[in-house]
Amino acid sequence: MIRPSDILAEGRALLALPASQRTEARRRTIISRAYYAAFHFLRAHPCSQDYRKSGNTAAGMHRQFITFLATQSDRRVVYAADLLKTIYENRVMADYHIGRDILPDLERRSVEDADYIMCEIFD
Amino acid sequence: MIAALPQTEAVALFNRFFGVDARAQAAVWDRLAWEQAAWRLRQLDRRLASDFVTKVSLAGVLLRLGRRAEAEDALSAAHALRRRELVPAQSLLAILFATLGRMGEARQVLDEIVADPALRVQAPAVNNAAHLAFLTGDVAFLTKLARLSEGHADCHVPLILLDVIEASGLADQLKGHQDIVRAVIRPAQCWIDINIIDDGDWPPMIAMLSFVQADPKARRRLERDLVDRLADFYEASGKPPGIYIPYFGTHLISLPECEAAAL
Repeated sequence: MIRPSDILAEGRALLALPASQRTEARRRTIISRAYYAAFHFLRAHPCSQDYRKSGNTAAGMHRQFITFLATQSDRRVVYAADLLKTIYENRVMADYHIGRDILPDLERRSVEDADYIMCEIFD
Repeated sequence: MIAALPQTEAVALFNRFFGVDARAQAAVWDRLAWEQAAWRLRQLDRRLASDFVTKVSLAGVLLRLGRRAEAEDALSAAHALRRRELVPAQSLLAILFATLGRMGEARQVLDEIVADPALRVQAPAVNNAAHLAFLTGDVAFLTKLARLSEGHADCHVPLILLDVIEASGLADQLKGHQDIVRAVIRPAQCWIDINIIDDGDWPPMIAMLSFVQADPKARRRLERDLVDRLADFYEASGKPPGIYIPYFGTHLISLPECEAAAL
């Protein structure tokens, strides 16, 4: 069993590699780790205790979850939804659009956004 | 039909820093490269003071370097020299006006392209105009662009953006939304870009990337302020505070030199 912070730690470890070893595949992996760390953190957070996945919508699970968070009244949760959506979009670019270049530094920003969700917003 | 631009040094710099794929190139994130480009474009501008591509590239580079006053001067000069048949350069002119929040001038520049039957069916012209219509929340203009793009395979952006707006149910709020975004981030904004992100669901998501002159702490404050002000706006309309988030959003990105200065 692992915790969301373990997933983020793996992303950070890859991010700490010298630039020469941070291949494009690793950069994309870092972005993916950052997203799933933040996603699982928020799934386990009390703010999402009322979340239920619906089968009555065309949206996938991730967008459904982001929508749930975005429509809560607690502004901290809305801000977390906004950042999670940003990392989600980065992850879509990293994992699905492999024929397109990703922005320089996108992996570092993704880790920082995940870290901000997990360590700052709810403190 | 449009002739290719002659490959002058100014055009080469334009393509390197503002071409379609330029934003993904590492060199474009190198401040020294931008400084060198500004220096060279200034030299070219002294020699070719009436060259539109040189002038608009100089304005773009200066804005990217945060020299807003100088950029505004170069932009006004570029506006006076504009040549609508140079669609990429004309589009950059519009984007720079939009970056500075001068939306009326941005719209005028793009209107000149799309009003010209010879130019308007070019995908860059229609798609850039659609981006601008989205940034201003002008759904009527977007609808007009969608009609213009009918039958032209590469001019797909207006229809995609209209689909997103329709799916969100926020057509009536879009202008107010974008006015707030502009009010919050314009003072720090140096470049904007719109990405359409396709994750397999329909509609895709729209991400506006706003590159800002703000260190990470200041950028977080801007982000939070933007979320709060948009939440106030939507709640005042009787809607959930972050109802737009699954459909479209604004991502603030600190310029690399601002990141480095904070270390």
